[in-house]
Amino acid sequence: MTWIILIEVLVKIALLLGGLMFAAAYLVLVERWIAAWVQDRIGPNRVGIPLTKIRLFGLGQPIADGVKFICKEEFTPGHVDRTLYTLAPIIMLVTALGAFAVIPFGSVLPPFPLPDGSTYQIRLILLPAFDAGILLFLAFGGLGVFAVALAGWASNNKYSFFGGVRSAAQLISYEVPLSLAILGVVVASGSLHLDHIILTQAQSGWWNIFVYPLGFLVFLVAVCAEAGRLPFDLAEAEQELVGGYHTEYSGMRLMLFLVSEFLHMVAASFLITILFLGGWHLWGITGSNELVGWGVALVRVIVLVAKVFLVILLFMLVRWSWPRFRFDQLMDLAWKVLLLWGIIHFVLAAGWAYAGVNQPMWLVAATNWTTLVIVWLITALVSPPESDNRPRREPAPVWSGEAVESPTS
Amino acid sequence: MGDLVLVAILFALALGLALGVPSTRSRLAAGILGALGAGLLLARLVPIGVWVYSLLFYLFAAITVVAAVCAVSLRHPIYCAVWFGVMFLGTAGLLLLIGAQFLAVATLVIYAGAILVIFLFVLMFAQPEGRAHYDIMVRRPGVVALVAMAFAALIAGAAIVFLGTGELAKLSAPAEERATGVLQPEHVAALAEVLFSRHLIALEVVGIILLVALIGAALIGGRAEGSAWRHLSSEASRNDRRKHPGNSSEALPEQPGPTTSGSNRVIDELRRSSGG
Repeated sequence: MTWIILIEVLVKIALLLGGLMFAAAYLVLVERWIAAWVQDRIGPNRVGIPLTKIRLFGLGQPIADGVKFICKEEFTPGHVDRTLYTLAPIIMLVTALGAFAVIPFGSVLPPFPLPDGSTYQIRLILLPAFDAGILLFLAFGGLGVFAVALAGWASNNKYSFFGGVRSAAQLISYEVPLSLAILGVVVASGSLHLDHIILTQAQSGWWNIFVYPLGFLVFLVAVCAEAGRLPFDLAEAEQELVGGYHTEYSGMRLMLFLVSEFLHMVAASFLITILFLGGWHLWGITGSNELVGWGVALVRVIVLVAKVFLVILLFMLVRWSWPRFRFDQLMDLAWKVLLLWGIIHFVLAAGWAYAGVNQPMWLVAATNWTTLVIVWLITALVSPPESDNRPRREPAPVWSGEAVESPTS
Repeated sequence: MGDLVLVAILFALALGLALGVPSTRSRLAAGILGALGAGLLLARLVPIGVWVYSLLFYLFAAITVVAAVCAVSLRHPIYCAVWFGVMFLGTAGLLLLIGAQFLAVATLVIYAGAILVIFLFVLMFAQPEGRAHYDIMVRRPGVVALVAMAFAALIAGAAIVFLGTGELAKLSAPAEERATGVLQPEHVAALAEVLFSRHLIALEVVGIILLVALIGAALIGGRAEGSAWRHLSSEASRNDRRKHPGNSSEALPEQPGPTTSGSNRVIDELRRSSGG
């Protein structure tokens, strides 16, 4: 029994590592294609099989990029703190990969018999018995902040340091609405285990996006910020802010950072799919039982991966459609909008959980959608659209010993 | 028993040297003494359960202890913080090993993820320029080492005595209760049931204490410049700026409120001298 568990875990790790690294390489290519399509260019389409004229739509590009990164000089500037400078990208990659330990990449495989007569069932998740699943994702997210801050500091460069602090502040801030959005879903399905969260959605047939739209919006924005995707990529705003925490990095170490950021996006897409889009469930095709045959098991994996891919495409489209936020706008969004929305979402979910599981789903959904509309309207009315986009320049801060009441203007 | 006392003395000496005046020689001596003590201790280690379990247990325990010693004895605050984080990783490993999944992950989220990053911010901004060693060294390393070892001996002694009488086994839950508690598949649900029934009042009190801390932090932070209090007053100036969008930086709007405090006077003088 022990050896079969060992083999199972090793095979799963190999599959995950191989699949993720392959996906990260080729998603870069997809991203460049999408960028080209959005900007009405042709995009990378030349690199195919070397020394021949075969182009294969540019499918050789990721390999060429990889070779380029490996062959680049890995330069360590003289003024850095060597130990931490080397350690930071390693921590970053480890935490990015570690998050996948609790993310299911399918449902279950049909049980197969063992030589001693018993049957053995494989769940398509690296840690099937880890009940505190989604918390581990949050824990690794928190450790990732560590890597960013350390990289910025160890580079011993003011702009790197500011980049690290900026990025860490962003990650810490957006962890709060992210956790609130997750909490609502967790309360609704009664488990922290991602497998179980998919199963509850599959059994009721109502994906969480239909029942908890407010939570979905909060989660989408917060996870986008956590992954450092474009509207929130102040970590590496080359044009305005002299790069970020990885300004002083080059070669493979830089690649570790870039790969980690891509892996964050992949993990985020998995989580959106699992928490809100029903995971492997699709009406009429996948069923919702725990006992399945090989065909259904395969279909479920395909459905899950297809959904994840669509979410990734959404992220990429967003990247090329929105300009970058300014830092105060970023913080305003997190603390003044998303936090409140997250709390409302959580209170609603908790209220429905308190009311019991036998409520008709359409009623829950209708209430939550109405709340979304009301909350959206209130937010839009209370915060007027700022047409003046220049940074606020206010007089020097003064506190004169008591609260200053603002004169009515 | 005799060699355990020897180990304790060795560890105390090593800790005292490590915490003392920083020099390469004392560090080396501390390392040698510590390794000697660890070697003596290694001979007395007993296997716990299956070999994988005892291997992992001693590995995590060693990581935790070494990281803790590094966290208190290293000179560089950032490295101390990093080792502090490693210590939490070791602790989380130990907790996972006894089946306390939620506690392990919560340790990582709260301590390693949140608190330590805040520490790191503070340390990074307060980068000690031209470090004076009397500023960051331990004042009385001998006393510190003695107290630490006395505490460790107290715990070890209690554990040995209670293990001998079987009291410890009574304290920890029996196997079948553990099977329905920490080791059951719905671990978090079982934990929540215990927390919200048997320990409900403690939980509520902790919640109130955290809320008090939050309000206190907001109050203290609000008195400093550049936060919520000021924000209330700055609404007026922003409205003012909206009226005259052209010259936002030149025309500083009049400060509302009394102008009696020292900082206000300084700013007024600055304004006058710059002809504002």
